[in-house]
Amino acid sequence: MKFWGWLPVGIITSVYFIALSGLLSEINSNELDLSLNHHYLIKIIKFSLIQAVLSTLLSVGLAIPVARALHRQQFTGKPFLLMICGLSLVLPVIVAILGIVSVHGNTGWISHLLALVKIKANYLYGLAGILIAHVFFNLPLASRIFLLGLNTIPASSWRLAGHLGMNSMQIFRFLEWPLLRTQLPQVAGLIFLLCFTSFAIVLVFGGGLKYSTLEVAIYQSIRFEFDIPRAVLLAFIQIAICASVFIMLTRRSSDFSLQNLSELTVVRIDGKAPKSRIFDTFILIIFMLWIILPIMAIAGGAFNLPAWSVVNSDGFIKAIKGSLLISLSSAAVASLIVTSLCYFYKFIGQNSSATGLLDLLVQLILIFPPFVLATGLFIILKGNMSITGPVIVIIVNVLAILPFMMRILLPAVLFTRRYDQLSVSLGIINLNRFSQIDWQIIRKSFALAVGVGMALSIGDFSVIALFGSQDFQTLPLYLYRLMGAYRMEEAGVIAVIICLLSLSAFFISQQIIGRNSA
Amino acid sequence: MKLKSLFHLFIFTLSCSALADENQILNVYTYDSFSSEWGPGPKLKEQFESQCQCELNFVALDDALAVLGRLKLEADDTPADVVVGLDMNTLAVAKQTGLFTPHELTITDLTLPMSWQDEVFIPFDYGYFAFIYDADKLTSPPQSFESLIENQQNLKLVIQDPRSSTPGLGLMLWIKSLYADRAGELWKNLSPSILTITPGWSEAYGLFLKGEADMVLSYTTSPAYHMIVEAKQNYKAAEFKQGHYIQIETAGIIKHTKNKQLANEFLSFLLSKEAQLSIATGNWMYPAALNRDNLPQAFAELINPQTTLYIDPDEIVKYKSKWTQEFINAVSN
Repeated sequence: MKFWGWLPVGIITSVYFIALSGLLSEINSNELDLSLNHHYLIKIIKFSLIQAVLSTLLSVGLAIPVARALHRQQFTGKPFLLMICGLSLVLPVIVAILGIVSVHGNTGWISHLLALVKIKANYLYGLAGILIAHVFFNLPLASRIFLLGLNTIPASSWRLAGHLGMNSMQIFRFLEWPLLRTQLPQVAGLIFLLCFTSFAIVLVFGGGLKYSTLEVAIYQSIRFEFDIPRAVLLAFIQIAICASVFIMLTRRSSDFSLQNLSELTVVRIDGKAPKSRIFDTFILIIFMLWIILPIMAIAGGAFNLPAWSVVNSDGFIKAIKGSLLISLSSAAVASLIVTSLCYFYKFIGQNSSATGLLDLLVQLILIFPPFVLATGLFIILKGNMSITGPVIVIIVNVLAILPFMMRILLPAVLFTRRYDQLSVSLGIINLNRFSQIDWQIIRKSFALAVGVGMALSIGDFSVIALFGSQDFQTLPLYLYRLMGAYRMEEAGVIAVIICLLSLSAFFISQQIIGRNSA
Repeated sequence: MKLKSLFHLFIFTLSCSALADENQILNVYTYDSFSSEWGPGPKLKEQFESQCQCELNFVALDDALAVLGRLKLEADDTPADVVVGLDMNTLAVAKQTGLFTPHELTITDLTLPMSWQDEVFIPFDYGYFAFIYDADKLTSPPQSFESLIENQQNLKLVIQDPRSSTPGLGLMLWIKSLYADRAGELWKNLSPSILTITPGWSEAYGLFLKGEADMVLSYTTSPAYHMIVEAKQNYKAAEFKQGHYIQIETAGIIKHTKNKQLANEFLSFLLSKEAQLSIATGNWMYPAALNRDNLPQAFAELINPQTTLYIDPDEIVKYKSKWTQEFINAVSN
């Protein structure tokens, strides 16, 4: 038991170790030349910070009125709106980018509208585009978390507020704000980290040199100039900044947890006032359009029938093969690792510093630049890129999906503790115990975890940008290339295919693994 | 270490099954507009395979500079036999990798506007960098970098990143060759006219054709494509009196190739008349070993730069990163 627990920990640790040793060997063999352009470096760090802070402020700031409106208004389309919200969270970044370009681009829907009143819209590229895309992803995320938080305010508090005749402002001040404040640091920190390490969005909307983040600069240093020392330096700066934000967060974090939140709906009197009705309706309409227009643009791509001829192209065949290879193998490997990790976690569960370390190891990938990791691995593994490339993409992908899969599977595995004493007393142990008791309990979560892992891998667009070629590509890379060549109709079809594949990975895994049989 | 050998064994088994073909396979690394369906690649493949009893396999990356990066990453293990598309400006850097081996050709009748002596790389086409505009929209195109700057309210340019794209690098060197120490200042003044800096040529040209920009950095020969393929006369290259920077594209053989003879045959094929014609009308550049009389009429209607500018490759290798930083600082403000 102990051995099987240590194995995945050893594997993950050695991946990082191998990558680091590869990078260091390259730094030694090239004479260490860090004659960096400080001016440019500072500019990149500054811009990374500024865009992340602005994205966080906008997302969190807008999420508060949205969550309030969602909480205090009841309307028929509410479940649908919440579903769309959830959809925007799982949309692959590169697909969402295409949707945003179709709506906000220079030849997009909004600029067509503005052209009617003779205004030339040209705002997507640069900081504005980056913020639009970041808010598209993070506003629904923050709104949902805040909404869940608001739901925890007990009904008695609302009754009291009613008796006291509190107005909307007072309710916010005395009931909602104290609660939101406990969530705020975590939500803001999470969004800051997501935006700070954002890659695809900045790559597409950044316009080359003017707006570059550390993550993009790392990618460019490796891909364009093969400047490993600089990439490593940039990576360490990024990790240092992320880690300090991370530490600040865990220090200040409250005991607020997203689990065990009920979706109780309370009827709030303050939502009935005409003023708040108008305000909420306005907010919700804007919010809905913000989310739904890009999704509609993506879905609309399916109806461009002539563009479907792209599925006959050589590039598409290679891309879909690559995507299936990457996602199936990543999900398979990751599900083995995540299962043993969860059991290891259960095993060492009493020791909180050990579980803390385990968490850290699994989540390290969230702040560790994947390009640096992949390059380090490649320097050691070497070999023919057309074979080593896919192997490395799978390794990095496995690491990248682990935290998400673990979050889903861990509660179920910990739940099996309940049966520990019973199984021992019945003499059901080891594999017998796993297949007869645990598997029945964790099966559904396991299926969900595998589905999420596969869906995430299908939509992944990170190290593939470094290792892809015409021979080895995936659907997201193919989509990015088509966008680069301004073949938007065909790109639209690929976006739809990516979404369909992710969805079916999700459902099929639940059908096959998670079905209630036996 | 054991892990590494196990991994190599794994790769070895994989590659054995992949290479079980009888035909020799020649792996050619190039940039994607060369090998794509609208580039010269497919035609060259057909022509060469009909005479070589082999399979020509293009491995394409976004740009020749990405090819160079890939080579540095793969180093001695690269599966490439031949690299097509590194230009004169990147040759010295390419040689520093130590991955190339001299060719075995005797080259006699080149048609380059300058002499060529290089034992490693053979030139297969050349062109001059120029800004392309739509004559239907722009009636009096700028004739110098100064007039580009003066017109910046009306003119929006798309250019390429010199770190990732050979045309982008070419423009940087063009300006350097003209302005030397004042190049940074010129970039700073030019910066407001730059709509965006794309990673590669295709993105920039696509943006221009979509009508998002007024001018794009490309080649004096680009209008020939529009004349011949699309029968459009409105795309033109702006002639700069100061002169145009030349780009000579080359091919070279990888040191570790197992198909050295085949690689040499391919290089010599690239200089044959049929290949030179396919390259001129597929890559839209001037052939390096074929007189211009053999080309379609449209090529005769192109502007013909009076002054050819270039910087010595040794000079480039020495100062490239310094000049790049100068460029980045000037345009990223």
